Amino acid sequence: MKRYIYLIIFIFVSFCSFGQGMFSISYDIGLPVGETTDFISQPSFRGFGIEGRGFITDNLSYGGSFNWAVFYEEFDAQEWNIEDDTRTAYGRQFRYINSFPLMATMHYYFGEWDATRLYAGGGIGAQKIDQRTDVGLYSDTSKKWRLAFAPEIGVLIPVNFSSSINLAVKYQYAVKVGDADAVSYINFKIGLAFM
Amino acid sequence: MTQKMYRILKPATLLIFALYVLAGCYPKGPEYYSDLDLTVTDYDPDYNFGDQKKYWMADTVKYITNIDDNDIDPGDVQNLLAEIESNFEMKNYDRVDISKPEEADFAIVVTVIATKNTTIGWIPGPPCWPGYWGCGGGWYPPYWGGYYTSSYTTGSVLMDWYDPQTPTVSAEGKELQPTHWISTFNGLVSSSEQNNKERIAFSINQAFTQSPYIQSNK
Repeated sequence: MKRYIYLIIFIFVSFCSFGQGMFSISYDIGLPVGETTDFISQPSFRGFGIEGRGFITDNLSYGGSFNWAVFYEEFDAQEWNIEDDTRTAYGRQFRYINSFPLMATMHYYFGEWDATRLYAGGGIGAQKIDQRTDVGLYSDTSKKWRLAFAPEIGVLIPVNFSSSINLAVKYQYAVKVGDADAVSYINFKIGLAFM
Repeated sequence: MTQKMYRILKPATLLIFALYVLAGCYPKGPEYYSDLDLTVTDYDPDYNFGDQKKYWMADTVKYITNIDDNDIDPGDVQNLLAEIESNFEMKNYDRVDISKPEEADFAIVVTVIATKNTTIGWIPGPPCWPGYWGCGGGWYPPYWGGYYTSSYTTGSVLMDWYDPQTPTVSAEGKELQPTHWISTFNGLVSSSEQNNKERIAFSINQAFTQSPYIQSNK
């Protein structure tokens, strides 16, 4: 947990050091897609993100972002075949994915600062995926860092001189590692950005 | 307050609030004892369960526990064995007299395991910084933190199917009788005996339900 606190502090301090910068905080909703739906198909309403951006020009920024999304699904008691056809288990399953993407980002902005601005960009970095299945008194856990990508489009709607509403859609993709499938979800961000 | 301080404090406050809210709505998982119940069965695909008819089962169970002075209730044992016998009867198998094991085609061995698990945790005292009154002196009596313990008991019921006509196999320097069917039920032991009995009975029935190959054709 300490490492995540350091990351948050790092992003926060980065924002403070930008000459012309933006810090945003968002509530995130995650919608699993692709192979991830085989493990958990339910959307996540437990997520948040922080991001710092520094502006190179009026239309281009670089920065860093950190998100946390918790996916969860429970299954009624049912029969499961294990490994081969001879072994059968019956019980409830509780499945979790904790996703922690840590990204270096770059964005391009359309329009002028005093009006609503669309932006497009993305991030590349590492994503920690903690995936767990609880059945009975047993847990099957996989914790892996993976290479990750996150293309994103969004809009900044000015509220006053120094803050904006930040709405964005991000496709969060962490590559397959070993036996662990790729994890992907669409992230809907509703947040506030401070200049 | 300067403009820069305000610029930092506003998002920081929001961030702390967001973390607090998110931590509060973290999924909680299992809620009831039965949510943690698990029944697992496995069988030998080369064994012909349909060709068997009579089985022998003792009138007691093998009981394994790490709890001192903890004996299993004989009445509970009889209920457990009766539930197993009832399921075998529905699958067209007959239980032979306990004194005549030689008449049986196969044997069922029932084992019950109760394991007490104890965990120890530490509740820290207040922070102790130089000059800070929390160094044990701020309260009376001084509080330095302390240990707590909690315990839970898990229970398992195992049913093993042995056939004395099957040749033994060598493993780890011993001659062992192979198991053709194994059923394991595992769960948390609750403080309600009735709840435990109902869950065990359900699990035994489930073990037979998920083992359709257990059906005598004789």
